[in-house]
Amino acid sequence: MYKTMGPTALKRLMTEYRELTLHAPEGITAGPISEDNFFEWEALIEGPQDTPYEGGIFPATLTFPRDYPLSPPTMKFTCEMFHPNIYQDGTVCISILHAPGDDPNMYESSSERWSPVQSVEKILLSVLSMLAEPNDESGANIEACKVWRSDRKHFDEIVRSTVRKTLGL
Amino acid sequence: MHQHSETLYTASGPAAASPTESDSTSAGAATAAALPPTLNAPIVTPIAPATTEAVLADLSMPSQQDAISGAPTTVGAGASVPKSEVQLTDEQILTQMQAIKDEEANAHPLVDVSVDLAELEKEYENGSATFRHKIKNLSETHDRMRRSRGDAFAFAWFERVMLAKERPELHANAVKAIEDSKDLLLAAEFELLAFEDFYLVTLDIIKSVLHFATPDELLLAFQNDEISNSIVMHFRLVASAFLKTHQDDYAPFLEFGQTMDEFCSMHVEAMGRESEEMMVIALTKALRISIEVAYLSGDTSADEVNFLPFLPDTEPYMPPLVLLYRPGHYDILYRKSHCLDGVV
Repeated sequence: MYKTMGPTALKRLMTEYRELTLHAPEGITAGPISEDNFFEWEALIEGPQDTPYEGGIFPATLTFPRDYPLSPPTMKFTCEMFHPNIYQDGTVCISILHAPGDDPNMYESSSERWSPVQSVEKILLSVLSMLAEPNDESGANIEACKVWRSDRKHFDEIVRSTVRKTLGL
Repeated sequence: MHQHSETLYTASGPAAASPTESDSTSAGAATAAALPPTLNAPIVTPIAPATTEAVLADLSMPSQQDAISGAPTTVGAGASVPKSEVQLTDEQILTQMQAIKDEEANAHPLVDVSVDLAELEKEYENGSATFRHKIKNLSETHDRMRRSRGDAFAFAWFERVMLAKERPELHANAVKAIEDSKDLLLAAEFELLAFEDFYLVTLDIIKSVLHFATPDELLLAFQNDEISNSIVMHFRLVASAFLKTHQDDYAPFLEFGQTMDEFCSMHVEAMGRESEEMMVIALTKALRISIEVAYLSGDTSADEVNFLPFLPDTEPYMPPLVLLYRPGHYDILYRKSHCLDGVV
């Protein structure tokens, strides 16, 4: 998009990684999968309390573009996830992962967008609140949207069963 | 390479600034030739409903990515395309928009070499009399121009500082203004982590600007994506920080019930977004620089290009930088009375 911006991206990612190691927010762990490649991260997200995701630990990958932080990373859960804003392949679809103007889901204009003032930490915190509060206005998994809207109890059951699978139970 | 982009400029130039029917005939054909036909036509209709952008387009401050010089014209032209012919999903439209922007971005340098103002006249050779008239008048007071997409302000400023070696206070003031921007950014509650890399690049360039021997050397620095994007991003954040810390003055001008935070996040902070002249105001005041923007439009009621001054709150310490606005982007204009030694 803005051609290669390797050095800036690398510097920024290293700074963010250091910050996250020193001051990791509760429920979140994230870092490069390998020290050789700072553009691929793994994150572990704890299911928020008082949600059907509670008790689960969900692994996801973050893939950063060369022009990060001008362009946002993509995030994809590598475990089974049943959630209105997560595609069936695990790709997370929330507004903070899209720059203004890049708007596949027609987010509300007030929703938080990607810009270089955001960070990995802010993305992961947004994902935590997304787990707690799905947004069925910009759905990625239509089935999950439908169940979430029409039968909350059933929705919770499906989610709990995926949580058990994630934990290998 | 230059030859190539010159040709493209000439082709897209009139399209960029000719909203009138008479102009778009030749310009439209030129644009059509420059873009794959599939990208050119269907894109048209769907842009129009994007209310905010369409409304703001007139006052827009482009950044390099947004310099689709034809955009506002295309919106207008779109009205005549029957909707039924266009069956595209929003996602396809966005993908195509991006393709056009990328194509545009790759075709032109971020900032180009300075050329005689006659080059601007050439762009409008087949354009309307209004444009030719206005440019003729413009050339009485201005002799050169430098095409750019997005970085016009920073380049014009740093070049001025670089050339004014006999006035070292210009350099001192510039360095001070950039250094002070850090406090402004922190006051607006931006995280150091989020802006420091960009800030340091800008600071590094302005500190070392006197070591550049010619504008061409400075130009090389600005043609480096890494440097250019950092400066653009830094300035965008500065504009945003200024607006956020002066909400009482500027929030009343926001439309559609937007808050200043929403406006800044949607239009000012994000790379590649157009934003209105509020951003120019914010930059001039935050960095204490005066700018004059020449609006070259097809408005037939005037013979002259309309100049709009943007002044800092402090006493200006150098003549204004002059930018030429045409829908989609800003170029740099050089006023005759300024002796810009060494500009090739």
